[in-house]
Amino acid sequence: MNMSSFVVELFFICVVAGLAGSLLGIGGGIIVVPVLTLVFHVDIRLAIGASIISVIATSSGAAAAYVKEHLTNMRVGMFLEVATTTGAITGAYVAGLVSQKVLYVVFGVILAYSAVQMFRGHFRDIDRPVPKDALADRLQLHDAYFDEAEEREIRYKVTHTKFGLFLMYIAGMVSGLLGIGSGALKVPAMDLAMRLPMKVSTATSNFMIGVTAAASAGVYFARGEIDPFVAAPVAAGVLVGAVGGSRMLPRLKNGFIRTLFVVVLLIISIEMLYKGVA
Amino acid sequence: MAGKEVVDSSQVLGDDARAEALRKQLEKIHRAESVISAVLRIGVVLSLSVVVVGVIVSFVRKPGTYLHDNAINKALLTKSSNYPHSLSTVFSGLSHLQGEAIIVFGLIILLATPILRVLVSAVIFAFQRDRYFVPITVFVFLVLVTSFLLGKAGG
Repeated sequence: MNMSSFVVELFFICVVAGLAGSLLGIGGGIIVVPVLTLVFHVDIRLAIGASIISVIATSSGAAAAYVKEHLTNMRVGMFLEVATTTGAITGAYVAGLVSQKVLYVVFGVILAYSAVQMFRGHFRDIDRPVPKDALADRLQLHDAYFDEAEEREIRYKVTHTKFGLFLMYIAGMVSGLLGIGSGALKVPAMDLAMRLPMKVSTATSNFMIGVTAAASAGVYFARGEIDPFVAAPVAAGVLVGAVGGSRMLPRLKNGFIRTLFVVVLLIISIEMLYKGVA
Repeated sequence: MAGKEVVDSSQVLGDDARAEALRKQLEKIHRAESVISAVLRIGVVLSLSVVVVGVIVSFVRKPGTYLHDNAINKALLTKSSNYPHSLSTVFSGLSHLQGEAIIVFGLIILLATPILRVLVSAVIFAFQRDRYFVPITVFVFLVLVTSFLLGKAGG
C-alpha cells in the first residue's frame, strides 16, 4: 500500500469514527486505535497519539454546534472538568504502580455493569422525581433544552453532583492510565447518577473529553508520537464526521441514542476484558 | 445513590422569584454559549484548513512519499515519528514551507482549542461575576497548564 491510499482510506474510516464519537460523547479511539494497528499495522504508540487527536477533534468539532444549540450543559461540564483533569494527572503518575491487565479487567466489568444499568434506563419512569441536591442548586446546574425529536422543551434537574464529581475523577484517572475510554465512563456517570437526559449526557461528555485529552496531548506531542501523516487524515476525517454527527443528534430520539450507546459500551467492555485476559 | 429527600420539580419552578432568576441565568448562559461556540468553530476551521494545506504542500513537494509503494512502512512502523515534534523544529520547518511542519502546526491549533476554550470561559465568567465558576474554570486552566509543563519535563 502506498501513502496516498493510506491517507484516503484512513480519512473515510475516521469520518465514521467522528460520527459515532460525536453522537455518543466518546472519543472515537475505540475505532481509530484498532483500525490503525490491526488494519494498517501502524505502531501502537502512533495509534494512541492519533486517538488523542481523534478525541480532541470529535470534541471541538461537535461541541461548537451542541453548545450553541444548548444541548450541552456547560455548567455541569465545566464543573466536572475539575475532577476529570485532576484525575488524568493522577492517572499519569500512578500508571507505573498498577498492573494494566488488572485495570482492563476492572473497567471492563464496570463498563459491562454500566451497559446493563443504562439498558434498564429504557424502562425507567422519566417523570420519577429527582432527589434534591443542594450543590446542584447552588451551582445552578439545572437546565432545559429543546428536543427537536420530541418537538418540546425538556426541563431537567441535576442530582448527586458530589457522587458525579467522584465518578469523573475516576473517569479522568482511567483516561490517564489507559489512554482511552474516558467518554465511556462519563456518559453513564451523568446518565445514571446525575440523571441528565441521554442526549444532554452525550453532548456534555463530548464537550468535556477534549479538555481531558488536551491535558495529556502535550506529552504525546513531545515524545514524537503524533505523526503528521497518521494524524492529518485522522483529524480531518474525524472533524468532518463530528460536524455531521452534531447535525444529526438534535433530531435523534433519546431512546435510540441510549440503545446505540449500550451496544458500543458492551463492545468496549469486551475489548477491555479481552485485553485484560489475553 | 438513593436520596432521602425528594421534591417535585414544579414546586421549585413554580415559585415566581425563582423562575425569574432562572430566566436571567439562562440569558447569561446563552451569551456565554455563543462566544464559546465561536471559539471552538474558529479553532476547528483554522486547524482543518492548515492541516489540509500541509498535506497538499507535502504532496506537491515530495510526491514520492505518497506514491511509492511501501513508503508507508518506513514512515509509520517506527516507534516515534521522525517529523517535527518540538515547537522550535515546527517553526523552523514552517519558515522553509515544509509540509510536515505545516500539518503539525495545524494539529497544534487543534490541541490548543480546548485549552483556549477553558481560558475564554474563565474570562466570560469573570465578566458575569460568577463567584463559583470563575474559580472553577481558572482551576481547570491551571491544571491543564501544569499537566503540559509536567509532560514536557517528563517527555
